Amino acid sequence: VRTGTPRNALLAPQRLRTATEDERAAVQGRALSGVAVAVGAPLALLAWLAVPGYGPTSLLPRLLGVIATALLVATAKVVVLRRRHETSGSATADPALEGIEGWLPHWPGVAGVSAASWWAARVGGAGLLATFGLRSLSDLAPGWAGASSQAALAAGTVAFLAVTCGLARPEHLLRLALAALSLTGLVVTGSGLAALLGGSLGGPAFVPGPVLPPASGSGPALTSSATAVVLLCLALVSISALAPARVALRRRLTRYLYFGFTVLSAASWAVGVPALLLGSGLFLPGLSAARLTSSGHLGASLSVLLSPLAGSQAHSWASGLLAVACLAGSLGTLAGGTALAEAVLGTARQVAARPSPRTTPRHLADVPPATAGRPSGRAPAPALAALVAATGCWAGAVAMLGPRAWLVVALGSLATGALALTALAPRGSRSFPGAAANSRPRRGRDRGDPSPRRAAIGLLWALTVTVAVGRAGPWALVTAGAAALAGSIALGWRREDKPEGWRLRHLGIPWGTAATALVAMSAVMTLEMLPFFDSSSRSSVWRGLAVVVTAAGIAAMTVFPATSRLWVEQLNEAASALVGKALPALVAALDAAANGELSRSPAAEISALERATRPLERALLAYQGADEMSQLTEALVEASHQAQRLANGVEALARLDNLRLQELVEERTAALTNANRHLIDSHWRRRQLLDLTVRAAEGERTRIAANLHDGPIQRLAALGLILDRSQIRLGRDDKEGVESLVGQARQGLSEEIQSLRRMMSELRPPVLDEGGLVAALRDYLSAWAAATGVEARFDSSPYAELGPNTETVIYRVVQEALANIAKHARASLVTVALGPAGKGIHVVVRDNGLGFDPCPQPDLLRAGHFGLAVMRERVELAAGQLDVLSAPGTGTEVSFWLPALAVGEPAELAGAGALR
Amino acid sequence: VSGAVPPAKLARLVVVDDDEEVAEQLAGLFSDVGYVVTGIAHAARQGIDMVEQTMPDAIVMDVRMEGMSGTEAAQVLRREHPEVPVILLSAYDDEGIVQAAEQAQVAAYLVKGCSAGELLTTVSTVVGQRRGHQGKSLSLGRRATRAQR
Repeated sequence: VRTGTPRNALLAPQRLRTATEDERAAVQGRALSGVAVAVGAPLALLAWLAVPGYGPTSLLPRLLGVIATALLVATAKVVVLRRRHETSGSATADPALEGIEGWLPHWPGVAGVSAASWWAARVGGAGLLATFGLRSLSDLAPGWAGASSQAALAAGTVAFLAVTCGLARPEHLLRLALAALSLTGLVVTGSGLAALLGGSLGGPAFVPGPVLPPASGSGPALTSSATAVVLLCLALVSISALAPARVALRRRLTRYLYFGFTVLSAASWAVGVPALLLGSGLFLPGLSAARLTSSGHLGASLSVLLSPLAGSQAHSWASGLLAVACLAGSLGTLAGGTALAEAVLGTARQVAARPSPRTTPRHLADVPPATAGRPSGRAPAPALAALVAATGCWAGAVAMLGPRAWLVVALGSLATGALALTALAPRGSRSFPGAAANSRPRRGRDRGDPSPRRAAIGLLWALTVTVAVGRAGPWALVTAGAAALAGSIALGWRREDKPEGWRLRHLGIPWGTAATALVAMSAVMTLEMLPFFDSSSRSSVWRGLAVVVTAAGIAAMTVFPATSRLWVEQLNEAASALVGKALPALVAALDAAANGELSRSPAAEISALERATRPLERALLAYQGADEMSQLTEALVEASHQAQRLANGVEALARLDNLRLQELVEERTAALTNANRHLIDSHWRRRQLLDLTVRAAEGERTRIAANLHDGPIQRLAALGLILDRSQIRLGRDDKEGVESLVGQARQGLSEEIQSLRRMMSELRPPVLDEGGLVAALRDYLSAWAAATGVEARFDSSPYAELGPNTETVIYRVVQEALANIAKHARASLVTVALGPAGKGIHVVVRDNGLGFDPCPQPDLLRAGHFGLAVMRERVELAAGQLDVLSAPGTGTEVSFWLPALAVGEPAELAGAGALR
Repeated sequence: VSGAVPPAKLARLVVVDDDEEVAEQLAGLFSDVGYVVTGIAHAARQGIDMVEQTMPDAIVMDVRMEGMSGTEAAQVLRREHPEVPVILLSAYDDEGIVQAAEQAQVAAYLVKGCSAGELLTTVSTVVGQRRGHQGKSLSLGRRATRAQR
């Protein structure tokens, strides 16, 4: 599959901008093309008309002239294309010209031939139709007709067939047919006007055909003017179909022009056709039975059919019906013509708007983007229905009126109808060059290139029509057309195996047309071979049957395009959503992602695409044929899925966008900062505590030293002095003095011993070892109460045996708490309580003092509250937990919990403690 | 020990020690051997005041005291009353403290726990030196005025 997706779009977004350049180039190319046609076609026509007479001798020079003109125009175009190719270096966007451009490097060899054949196809088609026009003119103006008109017709047919099937590529058929139709209109208009002018200037008067008797009273002037109006309308249609400049017009202006043109044409037709009918004698009140039997074949048939219903008025009814049908058919043809022109122009626009034919998958490029101006083939459904109706009505009118002069109009109508049918098919299913190679083989079998099939069908159709017209006359044409329509409908209808009922599906135009052509040909042959074909009564039956078939075909034809068009519209919508919105959004998102910006999300466009694709998925579920519609639908659905998957990827990418990453980083950073602060705090705290511990130890030593200095040493020094003095007094026999001194010494010694004991007890309360924690605390508390004058209560419930270290910690912490209370609290009552809690002990020291505002540990240290900090540290080092509950004015509660067994204490110790 | 060093006649002493008992015993000892203890102080500042009031022949002072230390008081006395010798009596015999005492140009430094004889000999010597020195001073006629006063 050629998926020339711009892989480097992410890196080089400017690559996408070349679309406008391509568009400009394409518009220029189409303008040139239009100019070439406008110049070349009249030249070819001139070459055709310049040769006098009709016959094998005059045909050859005419054809040569046409070919020469074609070559001339083709050469000019190729030169222009080549120059454009050289200057812009960009590919032409017109797929119809791709072939030519592809051959450019080898010009003027094969490229020249190719271009010439292409142009020959156009001009040849024009020549063919010019032949038809001349042929019809021979009916209108017998003076112009020659013996060689039949030969010209045959030659033109051959040229048409050759051009259609041999030289032209399939995609040129549409353009060829359109151009031919348009040129026909131009030729007929020109010829008619020439005849008209000739008549009014005194030349041979304009004489209607043999079966178009001059209207009584109205005169040739009316007929002539009516004809002129009709021809003018045809010319307008033709011009509109050919006008390349419309592409360049602004959309709104185009719409106004389109509207105005349509109104003008409709008005012309509305006036002209009745006038024509009047001129041809089909004036309803003046209709005579003789005229009906002689010329009004269809009217007669209709009146026969209607007689059971309308009785004697049957003929009037039939005439009225025919008149209405003619009017509707005229309008329909007009609408169809303009719709066709619009479709072609829309195609051109889409081609112009296509970003780049070389970088976009073919089946996507063929789908019109939403922004490509008027969508292709967007002729309103009623207009198309009217067009289809017109095909039959016009053909019927022609058949009724009989003269071969109108063959060309009938053929034109049929061609218009067929082309309209083709235009109904989605553009993507039309095979452009290389499309077959690009289309994915389905279900393991390659369906091949439909173009040869299409060409064969076209050939068959053209052959059938030619044979039918040539051998069986207008009736065969009508029958063939009606049968073709019926066959198309029969083959085109698809039954959907859903309980919802019948649904009309895509008309398989190629197969339908082929089958119809076969049926029509058989019908023609049968009619010819039947012995009772000439029998008037039976022929009336046959004709009635033909009318019924035609009517049924018309009725059906008004229905089927709707469903087909619905599908086409769904396809169009999905394709627009994909190509016009989703893919650009995706590309933009990816481009943004490439620039590191991931916030761009194509979600809205993708959901719109999903919505647009859903009906297609349902359609595929319901019916999946091997036709082009199904193929295109499947391709589009898959492309849509791929786009959705891509969008999901982009979304997933966006989910990890910068913001989120930043949040994550911020989160982590905050956590890290927190941890770091914690670490620093804890480090600072440890340092502070170490400092504190060292200082405390030093302070303790200093205190002990000071105590030793102030206590024992002074006492002992004093004792020494007493002893010295006693010795002096003994020498003086001062017995009393000695006794007094000895008494003093004895007292001093006692005091000193007591003092030393107290000191020792403070260093390590012996009661803690001997009497246990409770006794030690009780002793200390009573001593503290006595010293401070604060009432102290002690409360203790039985608790598990504690390790000695734990007891020491409790004792010291309570000591510290009491010291704090004595220093700061100004309390009148202190309670110390011990009790079991979990696998440990809970201690509470509560006072009713001033209280304070407790702060976290590090702040305690910073604030210099070493007492509390040391307490907490002591408890936490012993794997416990300390809480301080306080507020100014409410007293303070220091409570802490310690495990029964302090950290590092072997269990035996606790056991030993328990034994004590 | 007793009477090993006879005290100088009518020598006057001020005793300074923050430990009351030690101060009392010191004063008792000096009194016992014939000195006149003109004042017992328990702080350095108080001792200096007493020196100014009584102009003793020497001051016996503890080193480690609350507030001003003996060494500091010795420096003050050295500046304001250089004629009054300072005998420091301390519980420490650390080299640093001894050096500080020397810098304060004290007359003697004794460690508590020394014998009474040692103490009395030192006091006697210091007082004797002071008396001799004062004599010279008197001859110079300068200190005499103060002494008479």
